[in-house]
Amino acid sequence: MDFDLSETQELIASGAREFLAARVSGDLVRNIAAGTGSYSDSWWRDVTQLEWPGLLVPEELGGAGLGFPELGALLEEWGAVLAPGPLLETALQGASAINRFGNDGQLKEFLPPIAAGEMIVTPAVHEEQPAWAHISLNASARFINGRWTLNGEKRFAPFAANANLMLVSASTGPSADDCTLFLVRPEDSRGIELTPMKTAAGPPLSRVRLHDVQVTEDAVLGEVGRGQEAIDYLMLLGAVGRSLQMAGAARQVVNMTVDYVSNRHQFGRPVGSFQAVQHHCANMAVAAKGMALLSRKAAWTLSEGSNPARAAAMAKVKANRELPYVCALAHQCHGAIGFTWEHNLHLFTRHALHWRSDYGDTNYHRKKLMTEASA
Amino acid sequence: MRFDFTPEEQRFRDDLASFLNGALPPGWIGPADESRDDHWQLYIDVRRGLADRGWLTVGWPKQYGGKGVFPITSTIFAEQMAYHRAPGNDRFGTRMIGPTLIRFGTEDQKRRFLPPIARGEVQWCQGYSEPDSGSDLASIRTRAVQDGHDFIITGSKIWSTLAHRADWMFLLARTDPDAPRHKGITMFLCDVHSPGVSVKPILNMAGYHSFNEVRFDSVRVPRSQVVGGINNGWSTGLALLNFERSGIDYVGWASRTLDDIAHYARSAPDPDSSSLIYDPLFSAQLVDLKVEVESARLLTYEAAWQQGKGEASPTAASISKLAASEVNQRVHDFAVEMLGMYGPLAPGSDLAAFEGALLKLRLFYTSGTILAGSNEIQRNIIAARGLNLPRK
Repeated sequence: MDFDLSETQELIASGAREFLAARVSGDLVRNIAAGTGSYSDSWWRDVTQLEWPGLLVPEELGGAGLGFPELGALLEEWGAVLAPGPLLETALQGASAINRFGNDGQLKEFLPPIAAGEMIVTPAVHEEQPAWAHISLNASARFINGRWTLNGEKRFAPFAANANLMLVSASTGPSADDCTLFLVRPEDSRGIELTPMKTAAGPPLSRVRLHDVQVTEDAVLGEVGRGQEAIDYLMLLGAVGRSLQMAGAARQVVNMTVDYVSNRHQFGRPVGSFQAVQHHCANMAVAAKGMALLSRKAAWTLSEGSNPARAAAMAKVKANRELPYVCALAHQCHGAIGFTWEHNLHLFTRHALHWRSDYGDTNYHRKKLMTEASA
Repeated sequence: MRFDFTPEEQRFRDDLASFLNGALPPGWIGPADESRDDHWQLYIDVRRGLADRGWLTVGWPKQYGGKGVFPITSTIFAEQMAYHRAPGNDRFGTRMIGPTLIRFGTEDQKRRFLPPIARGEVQWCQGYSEPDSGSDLASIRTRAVQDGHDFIITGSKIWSTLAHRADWMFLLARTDPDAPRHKGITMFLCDVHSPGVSVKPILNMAGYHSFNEVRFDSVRVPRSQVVGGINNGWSTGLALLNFERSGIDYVGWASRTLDDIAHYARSAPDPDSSSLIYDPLFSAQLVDLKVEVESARLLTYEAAWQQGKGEASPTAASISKLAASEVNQRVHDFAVEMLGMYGPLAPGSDLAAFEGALLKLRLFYTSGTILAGSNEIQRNIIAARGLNLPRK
C-alpha cells in the first residue's frame, strides 16, 4: 500500500488548485444556481488549453495517456471549487466509453478532438427513470434503409446545450436489455429539441426530445443490442467521478469552516475554541478524509484493481451520506451567515443534493453491496 | 395517564383543519413566500380569519382576547398550521411578545398592544441578534440613551424575519454600558415606521427574502414602551425566548412531508417492487423517521402539558426544540433524496416533484437548528440546567 499521490498526481492537483482558485468564483457558481448565469464557453476554452479533457486519451491519439487516479486527482480539485463545466462527462465518461467500446474508426474520429478540447461529450441516457434502474427504454431506434431513426425523450442530460457529441441510448428490441448506444452529433442532426431543467445547482440539465433523428450505421457505439454494458460503464465512471468531486467539496467545506470558526468571536473567544464546535469540525474532517480514501480507491480500482463496481458503490454510498452531513455541520458552525444567499456555503449544500441523486442514488448502491454481501 | 385529545380539543383540531382547507387555495403546497404580495395577502386573510374565530390567540387568557385554553390547545393550533403549511400564524405577536406582555407588561401596554394582535391586525418582528452578537446575545451593542420621557436608540439588528412586513418590533438594547453585561439591557417596543428605522433585505439560501437587517439611527421611543423595567431586559428577553422555543412547528412540518412522500411512494414505480413503498430500504428509513417525529411530538406536548400545570422544567422547551428541529431536517433531507433525480429540481421546472416545494423547505429548514438559540446552546442548557453537569 502507498497512500501518497504520485509525482504526476501531485503536479496535476497543485496545478489545478492554482488555476481553479484564480478562475472559479462563488459568484460564477451562484449565478448558475440562480439560473441567472450560464456556463461560459470562454472559461471552458481556458480549461481545454490545460489539456485536461485528454488526460485519459492514449498518447497516439493526441492525449496524455494517463490513468483514472490522475484524472481523479484533478476531479477532486474540480469538485472542491464546484467548477462548472463538462469535465466529468467529456474527459472521464466520453473518452473512456469511446476508448473501451469504440471501433478503430470511432477512436480516430472522436478521441483526438476530445483531447484537443474541440469536442464536448455528454451522456443522454436517462428517461423518466434513471439509466441505472434498467427499466425498458421508451426512446427507440429503428433501422430503415441503412440508417437509424431515433425517437423519444431523454432527461437529465448534463451540458446538453454545449455538447458536440451525445451518447444516446435507445431501445432496439423487445426486452429491457435490448438497447443500443448511439453517438449523435447535434450539429449534424435535425430533430433534436432541448429544454432546460431548472436544478438546485450542479450541471445544467436538459430534456432531450428526439424527433426522427437520423444517424448512420457508424454511429452505433459497441454492438447493436449490447448497449446496456456501455450504459453501465458510463454510470460506473459517473459514480467514481462524482465521488471524487464530492470528496474534494467536503475537504473544501471543512477548510472554510475551520477558517470561519477560528475567526468568528462570541463570548470573548473564537467560537472554534468551544468543544461543541470542535467536535463538529472533527466529525467533518473524519468524514471528508474517509470520502477521499474510498473515492481514490475506486479510481485506482478502475485502472488496476478488480471489482470496480464494488469500490464505486462504496465510494458513492459514503459520499452520498457524508457530503450532506458535512455541509449540515458546516451550516451549524457558520450560524446565520451561512444561511444567506451571499455566502458560498449553500452552494455546496445544493451541489450535494444534486450530486447525491445522480450516477446511482444511495439505496441503489447499497443494494449492489447487499447483493454482493449475500452472495 | 392518557395520550389522546379531549373531545373539545379534537373538535377544535377538526374545525381548524376544515377552516384551513377552505381558506387556502386549492392544491396549496406551500411554503408561503411573504415577500410576494399575493402570499402576503393570503397571510393577512388567514390571520384575520383565525382571529375572527378567536383561534389566533386561542391560548391567551380570556380578558386579552383568548379562550384561556393554554397550552395543549395552542399547541394543537400551531401543529395544524404547520401541517397545512399555512401562512398567517403570527408567532411574533401571538407567541412571543403577547405572552411576554401578559406576564411583564403594564396595564396600559396590555390594553394598547394585545387587542390588535388578537384581532389579527398587526405584524410584529424581533430585534435580538446583531451582526456581532448571535449565540452571545448578552454582548449586544445597540444603545438606548434616555432623553426626557424618551429613549434614543442607535444600532443594528439582524436576521429580523418579516421586518419588511412588520408594524412593530420588540428589541433588546443596552441602556447601561457600565453595568455587568446582563444587567444593562432593556426591552423596547418600537414602531418600525418611526423616523430613523431602515430595513434592508437579506436573501436566504433558499433564494428568497424572509429576513432583514434593521438599522436604528437615533430612533426615538417613549419610555412607556419599555417592557419589564429598565435594565431588566435580560430576564424579560429570556422569558420571551422560552415562549418562542417550542418544537411544535417542526413537528407539524415534518409530519406533513412524511405523509406527502409516503403518498408519493405508493404510486412511484420501483425497479424491484410494485411500488417504492414496498422497497424495504425505503420503508425502513420512512418508519424510522415516523418514530422520531412521534417522539419529538410527545416531547413537545409534554412540555406544553407541564407548562399548563405551572411546573415547566427549565429544559422542556430546549428538549422540544432540539429534538423537533433535528428530525425536521432529517425528514426534509430524506424527502429530497427519495425523489431521486427529481428531488433537486427547482421550483419553476415543469418536472420538479411537489413543484420544488420540498427542495425549498429542505434548504430553508437548515435554519431550524440555528435560530432561536442554536442547538449547541440548547444542548448546553440541557446539560447544565437539566442534568446538572459540572460547569468547570
